[in-house]
Amino acid sequence: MTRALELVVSGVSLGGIYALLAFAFSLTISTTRILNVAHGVLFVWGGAVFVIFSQKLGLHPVLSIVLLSVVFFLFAVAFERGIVRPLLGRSAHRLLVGSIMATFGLGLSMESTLGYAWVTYVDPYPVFSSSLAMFPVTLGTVALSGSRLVILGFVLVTVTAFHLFLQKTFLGKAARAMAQSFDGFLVIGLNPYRLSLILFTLAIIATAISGAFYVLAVPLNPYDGLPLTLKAFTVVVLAGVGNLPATLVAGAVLGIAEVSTSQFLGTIWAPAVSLTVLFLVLVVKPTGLFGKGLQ
Amino acid sequence: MRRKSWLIGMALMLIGLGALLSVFPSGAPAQPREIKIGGTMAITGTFSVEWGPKAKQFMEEWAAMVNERGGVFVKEANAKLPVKLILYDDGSNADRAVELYERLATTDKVDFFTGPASSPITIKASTIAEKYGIPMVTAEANSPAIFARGFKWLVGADRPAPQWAEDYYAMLKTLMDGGAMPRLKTVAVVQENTPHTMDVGWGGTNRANIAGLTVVTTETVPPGATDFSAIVGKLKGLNPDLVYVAAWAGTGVAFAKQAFELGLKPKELHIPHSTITEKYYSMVGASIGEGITGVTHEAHFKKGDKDAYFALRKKVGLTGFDAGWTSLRFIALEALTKAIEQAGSLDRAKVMAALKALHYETLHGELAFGFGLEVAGKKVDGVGNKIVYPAQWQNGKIEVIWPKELATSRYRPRM
Amino acid sequence: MIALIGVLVLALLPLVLSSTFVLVMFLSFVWLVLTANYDVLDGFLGQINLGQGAFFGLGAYVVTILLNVGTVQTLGRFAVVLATLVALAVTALFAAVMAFPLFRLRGFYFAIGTLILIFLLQVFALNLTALTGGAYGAYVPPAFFMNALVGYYLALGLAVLSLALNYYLARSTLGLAFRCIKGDEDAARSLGLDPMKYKITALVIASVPSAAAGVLFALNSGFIDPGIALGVERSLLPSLMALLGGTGVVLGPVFGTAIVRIIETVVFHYLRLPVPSMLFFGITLLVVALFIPEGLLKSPRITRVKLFGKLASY
Repeated sequence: MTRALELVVSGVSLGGIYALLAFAFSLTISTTRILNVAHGVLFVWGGAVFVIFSQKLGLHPVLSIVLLSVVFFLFAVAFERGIVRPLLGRSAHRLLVGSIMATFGLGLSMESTLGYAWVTYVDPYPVFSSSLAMFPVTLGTVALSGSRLVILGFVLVTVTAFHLFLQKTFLGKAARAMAQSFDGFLVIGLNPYRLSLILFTLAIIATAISGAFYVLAVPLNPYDGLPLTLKAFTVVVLAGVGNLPATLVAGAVLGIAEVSTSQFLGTIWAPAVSLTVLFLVLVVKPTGLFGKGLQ
Repeated sequence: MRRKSWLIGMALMLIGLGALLSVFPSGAPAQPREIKIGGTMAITGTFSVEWGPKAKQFMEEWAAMVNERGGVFVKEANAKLPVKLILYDDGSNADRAVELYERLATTDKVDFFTGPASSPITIKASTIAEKYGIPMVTAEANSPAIFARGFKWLVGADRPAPQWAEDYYAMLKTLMDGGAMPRLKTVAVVQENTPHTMDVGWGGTNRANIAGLTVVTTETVPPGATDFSAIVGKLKGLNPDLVYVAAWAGTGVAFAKQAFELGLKPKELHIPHSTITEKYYSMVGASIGEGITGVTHEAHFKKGDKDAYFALRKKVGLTGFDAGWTSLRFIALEALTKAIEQAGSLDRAKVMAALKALHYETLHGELAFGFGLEVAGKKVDGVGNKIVYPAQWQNGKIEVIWPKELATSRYRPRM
Repeated sequence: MIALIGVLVLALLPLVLSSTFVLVMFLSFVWLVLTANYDVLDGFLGQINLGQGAFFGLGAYVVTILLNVGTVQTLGRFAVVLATLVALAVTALFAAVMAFPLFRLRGFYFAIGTLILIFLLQVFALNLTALTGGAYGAYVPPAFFMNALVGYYLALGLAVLSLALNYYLARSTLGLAFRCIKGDEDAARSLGLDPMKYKITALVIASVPSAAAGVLFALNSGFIDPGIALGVERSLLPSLMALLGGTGVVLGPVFGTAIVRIIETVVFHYLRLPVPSMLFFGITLLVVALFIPEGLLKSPRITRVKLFGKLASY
């Protein structure tokens, strides 16, 4: 019984990590309709920059996060101006294809730059992880990973905040309206470019900060970007695109599935199980467990 | 508008034409005969994490050093000939590596090959060496699979990975017999599903008897695995004295972190790749890192051309134990030049014969390539004898703890 | 016709090219096959198929596994033919079976569904060590190695075949049916077409040449492992190449493949700048995406030039 409880607990805490990976991605797709293939790369950059600030420069973690936000704010502005804006006005199919190609190109460029820059300027081994949140936690007889608890906490808070933002605030509602129909949105008279800038900036910063939290528990290297984007895809599709709270549930479902598979079939089969779960959900309910689907 | 598309079209055609034209052999002006050594390196891409731009830099600095000394003496030419190193980036892509090795053989017409990074790429590259009869000396490649194909043009400086555990377990036995370490009885092996780490794990499982240990389980994880919660749970139940983690450094970080947080505290935690980079400690933190043992290629070498070696490392900006494969690269390249000197010629067959018979003192001692050996159930030829040195994280630093000649500290029990 | 001249030039190239470029072209033909097959789904059915790599890898693995079986080896020369036929049959069957669950999906979800195929196959290749060699990979016995020149011509032939297939589809009732379904599936159904039957046909058609490409690749390279045969690039690059060249246009894949391969070759074989090679690639993609997102042969800016316009009309 304890073992079963342990598995569920491990699964949920792993789910926190998956939700961390996915929520900003869901936010990006649902609010800007840009499929950001470079999501994982940005995530990795967030982790890298955080390690540089907190480990190499020895800055306080909170200060590191603040500086990180500034850096990625600037990046987001450049990204939005340079890539998002030219793509925004296009038809749905062109937007999808264009955003995939453009962000893929951006992602490739960014990851190879990080790989090279790290080895040239930071240290000879481009793998980064932070040891700031390492502590064991025990709930009765069940052991928990402290760093994952921190991540879970962060994800819960952030997802709730974004959910409330999208549902309750004027800006959030405007964002959902724009995602639903770009032309319809123009009729209202609001400036879509300014709104897309705000949304995009929020999503990018959220992604980078997520990466910073991720490296508290898991090490990253510059070339992890694309696989992580695909993993984020899995979680988002499972949850239903745009449904942020659902990413927590989807993450937990995948986490429990993987941990159980590791326990009973062997860890080498865990990836196959995630993929199969996703495939089954797609075939049975393509819009995801809770989703309304991609408009 | 028309101008722009015309320009794009012309640019594309020119690039294509340029590529095509470079195919034709150019009439090169007469130059002093150079010893051309060629190879590819994972300078970018997934394998570049372990190798990367530093590998290229190190090898280029080596070539510069050799040329500063005047070159390699070749009796047939009755002169010291300079070395020309031609290195390409294969981007960690096997298809590309094959194209580039073919290029090195036929277009660049190199005399000898150096080995690339990673098992699959080395397997492919050595096939080209064998096809054209070009001697290839690999540095880090140490999977028996690479050397068990009956190839005649291949040798490698590193000792096969399945044998890494032998040195470690031999150390354990000595320490336990001498009372410097509590008697361990059981071992659990965790191995990552890539050729190198599976080889290391094989050793962990099949050589445990050297130290009188019983293997309670061998768990395999997918490449780049990040979640070990189920395995840690299982291991806590089995309570092994030693946990042997055959994984790449990053994966080893993830394991150590989760083992710590979930309360797995074996008497001895051995993660071979944890002492292969100075970064490991800062990634896991002091409470986890202290006392973890691993192995390293690097040490304060006392023999061979050690001064030149350390000067090279310094030049490339490498300190401490980082990029330990530099010792293997150095030895591999050095062996090649020694073989050329002994053969007295640049004739490939003669140099290959000289390589196979080579015995000289290098950084780690007497170098020799082994033939007809059995490793992990395979008959291998051309494997090297550079061993790895058991090491331990002590006070935030990597200390070699075995063998005595190179040890900078003694083994310290974790608890 | 331009096409015949092109093929003739390519057929004569090995006489002047170095063995390196024969290899580069061989691999380019393999990519072209995958890209052209991808376009059967994208250009004609309007579905983004990220599973081409799965067909390629399946073909490569089946042929390699079979050629290592004792009883197959006793067939001598015929062993390769038999193993190839089995590889093609297995892949076609796989495509037919997977088509049922996959075609319940549309658009973005279909793309994800097909992408899952290649990942799943890679996990199986990695884990079923007794069958596939696992992480250590599988070797083609030296007796069955394919000569580089033979490989070149077979790959060229296969590429021409794949493009001819698209050419035929562009002009046949089958292709017309595909495009009906792409345009409006319900309307097509009302005309009496069974969309499911055509979708399955499309996927099976698109799987066989790719599997054959996988077979050629395996026989030519002698060694495959899960990363080489089933790496995700085998699925992603064909779609990228098709998008770059222009989907739904017969010669689109040729240009897309050519652009990518030329950039790749120039960057890795010639330019040896101290900056990472992938950077060029990434920047090119970015530029193309922003300026000619429809693809080379579908972009009005390009097709205005008479030569390109003519090529696009095939």
